[in-house]
Amino acid sequence: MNQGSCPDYRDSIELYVDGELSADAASALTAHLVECPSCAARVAELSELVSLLKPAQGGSPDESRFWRRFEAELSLRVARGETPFWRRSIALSFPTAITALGLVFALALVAFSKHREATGLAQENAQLKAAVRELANARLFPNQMVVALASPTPLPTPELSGSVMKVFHPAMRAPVERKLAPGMEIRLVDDPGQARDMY
Amino acid sequence: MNTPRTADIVPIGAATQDSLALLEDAEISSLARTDRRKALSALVAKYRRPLFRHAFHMLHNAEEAYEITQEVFLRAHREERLFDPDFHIKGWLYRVTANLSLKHIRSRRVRALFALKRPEPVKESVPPVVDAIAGQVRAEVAEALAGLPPRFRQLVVLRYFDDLSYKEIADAMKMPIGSVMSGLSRARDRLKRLLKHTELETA
Repeated sequence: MNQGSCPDYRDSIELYVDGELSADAASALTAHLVECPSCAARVAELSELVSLLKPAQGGSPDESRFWRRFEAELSLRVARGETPFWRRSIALSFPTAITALGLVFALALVAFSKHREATGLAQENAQLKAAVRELANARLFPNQMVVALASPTPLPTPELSGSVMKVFHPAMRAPVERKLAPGMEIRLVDDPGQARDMY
Repeated sequence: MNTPRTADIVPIGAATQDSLALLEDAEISSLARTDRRKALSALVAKYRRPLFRHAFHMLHNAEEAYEITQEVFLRAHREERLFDPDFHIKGWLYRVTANLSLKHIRSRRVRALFALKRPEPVKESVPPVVDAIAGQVRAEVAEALAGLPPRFRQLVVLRYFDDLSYKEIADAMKMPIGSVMSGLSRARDRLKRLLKHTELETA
């Protein structure tokens, strides 16, 4: 693979390209490169490869939403003291995993409210509400949707009722705003058919 | 040194202001002595992006990378020694992310074996936000990377995508620095061959 670069400089060339060569050794190498076209060619070849690898960067206005959702979800999982959920989620198909996530999410809400009852701070409820809204507003992947649906199970925290969240109704193209009421359940699904089944 | 506000931090993420993301690891550790939750917020703010990037470039699947990154921080939350003075936070976080990603690649293969089909190719559409976070890699590079054995791919991702130095890689992966060096050298040789191959095809 090596196009005849000098054996003495082979290792230093590798290190040089990765910026790992000491300053002294680097200047010795650059001095050598002037005289040795084959080593110079090797450096050029490796540098080109390395620069090809670097991913191109671009900003995106969506990124903060992505991370807000990431954090909202992490908070809920931490609050729940969750054990490795991802192992199961990855072994399952994605839709199943998402349904499981919805379940975990509901459980997290219950755990949250139970845990908070003792302290019972309105401020914390507001934060929980914010986390729920976060989850609802920030759909991460194109097919995912948040649905709120009527259910015999009462909403875990009564404080949540009355807050408005975006609902992605399977029958509509655009999300609609809907007031949460007791008796409504919130789920994350990734398949419209699945959501329809739940209605 | 601007200290961020202490109020309104209950859910981990709620308070990850940009200022928290700029703290050094040592500063985060000392912050943990007074407020562990806030220190965790700072860790999330600082490392979520690089760790997600790592997992994404290893797996080429946004959902899986997302779950792995969540799991890393859940583990960090449970790790009692995390903020000990001599604990290498950065190395630990990369180690956990890298190992989870590798393990996941392997479980994918096992599942493909049982399903009696070849592992699915990496071609899937990536949400633009994920491209923005992970950085867009040229298609031929992604393909060549996918053709590398996972251990080599891991080294390449750690060095060129995560921008870790040899020493940091050795520290994170608990391997001698010489092995990092030789592993990367071999990985580059393989990559070059894989890339030459596609170049010839397109030419």
